[in-house]
Amino acid sequence: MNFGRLSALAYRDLLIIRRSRWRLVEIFYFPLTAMLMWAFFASYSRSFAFEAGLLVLVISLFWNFAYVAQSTVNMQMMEDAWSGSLKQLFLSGVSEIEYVAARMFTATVVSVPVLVLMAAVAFFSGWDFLRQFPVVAAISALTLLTSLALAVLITGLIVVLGRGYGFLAWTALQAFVLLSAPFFPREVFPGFLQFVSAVMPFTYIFEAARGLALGSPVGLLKPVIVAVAYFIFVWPIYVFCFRLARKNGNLVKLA
Amino acid sequence: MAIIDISGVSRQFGKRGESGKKERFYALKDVSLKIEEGEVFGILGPNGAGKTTLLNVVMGMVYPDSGNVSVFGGDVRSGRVVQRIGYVSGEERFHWALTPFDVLTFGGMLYGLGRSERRRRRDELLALFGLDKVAGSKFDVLSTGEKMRLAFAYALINRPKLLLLDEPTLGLDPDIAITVRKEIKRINRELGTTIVLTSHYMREVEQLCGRIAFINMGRVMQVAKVSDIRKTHPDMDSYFVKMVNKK
Repeated sequence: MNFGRLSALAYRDLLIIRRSRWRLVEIFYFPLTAMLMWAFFASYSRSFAFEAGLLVLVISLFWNFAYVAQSTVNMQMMEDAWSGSLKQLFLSGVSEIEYVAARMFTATVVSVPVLVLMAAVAFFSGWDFLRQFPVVAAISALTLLTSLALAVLITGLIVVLGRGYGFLAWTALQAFVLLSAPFFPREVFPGFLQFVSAVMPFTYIFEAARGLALGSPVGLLKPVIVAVAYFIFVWPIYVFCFRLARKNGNLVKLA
Repeated sequence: MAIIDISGVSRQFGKRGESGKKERFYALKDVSLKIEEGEVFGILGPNGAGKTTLLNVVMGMVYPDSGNVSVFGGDVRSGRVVQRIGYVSGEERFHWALTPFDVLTFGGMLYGLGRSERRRRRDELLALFGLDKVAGSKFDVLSTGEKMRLAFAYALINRPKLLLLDEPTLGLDPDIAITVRKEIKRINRELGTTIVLTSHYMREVEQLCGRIAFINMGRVMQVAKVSDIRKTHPDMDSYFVKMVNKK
């Protein structure tokens, strides 16, 4: 991995995001408006369902953070594909690993301020997370790691399946989140879905977040193991997807 | 010395036939070519002949189903080989939000140029390709000619030993096309860059290329010197028509 190329790609990404007003709006608009909505709900529900309101607020924080991190990686890739500049990048000697690693760096730089703003909204809505800051920070880090892992996987899928599957960039995470039982324990699911949920990337992160919101802390070992496992296993799949895309011609069509 | 050595390369793709079923077809079939250092080599053929696929195989964007491709004596999948190749396409695009200044700065960073060399090279290329007045304009507001010149400037930022040009004057006004052809000749003459170009324009091929390969339906029909073709054909257009109709 060449760090000069990584920094060049990250420089380009951040320049593009700064120059594209709609991207800036999108990165901040959706998460912040969602948080504000749930903040108002949390305030409203304080008198009759305090815990439910707080639960929704806390889970929304991590869910939206996950979305911003993952979608930044994948939307940057789709913009490269739509602008026709993807081919030129790979012909400049950028490897597939460098390509996505730079995007992961950009996504981290962009999504952390969004997390801070969302946390501020949550704080002023009655969630004093500062008292549990180390746990909040740990869950945030795991959420970021998991989202970036999914972004790597989604990048590989789009590359191998072709441009027509570009919609995965902004829709795929929803399915993973749903099956990770965000607002409820996975035991609420019917039998076979519980099994699926047990291996989903965010299940134990959301479990820890629910514990945080409801004042009944849950250990972080399971979310750490799952996050690290996902992060490790997506890379060979990603590299394989690129090889396959070069074999089936989809890379050049995407580019 | 052969800079590009293509040996027995075949590549199939699938497409939907008239019956609606997926059919396989040969984009390249048993292609063998050697391109020598320092030459300007043309790849001609009708639409769908396999010209762009051949360039994509040489660049490592598509893997062949069989055969070998070596560029600079090495595997094109190696980053070191790819970094010595420049590429320009008639449909060249950069991100719409970037300016020529950004594109060339980024290119310099990508190729590992030091800060002062990067600035110097960027300014040199902006001036050389007449882009200094639009250096701060976003890509999507540039004219077609300016976009093409930016593509050339970017492709030359690392002083490549091999330049691949895919229909470089496609859609350009004649005056811009003339400028681009002059630039191609200059790059080859002054820098010794090996140039491989695909084109539909026979005049362009005649002006620029020493040798050509004619490809049709994925096969190399002939490799010949342009001067030899001119001895037996009144012009390159008649040669093209003859080769297209040849079985």
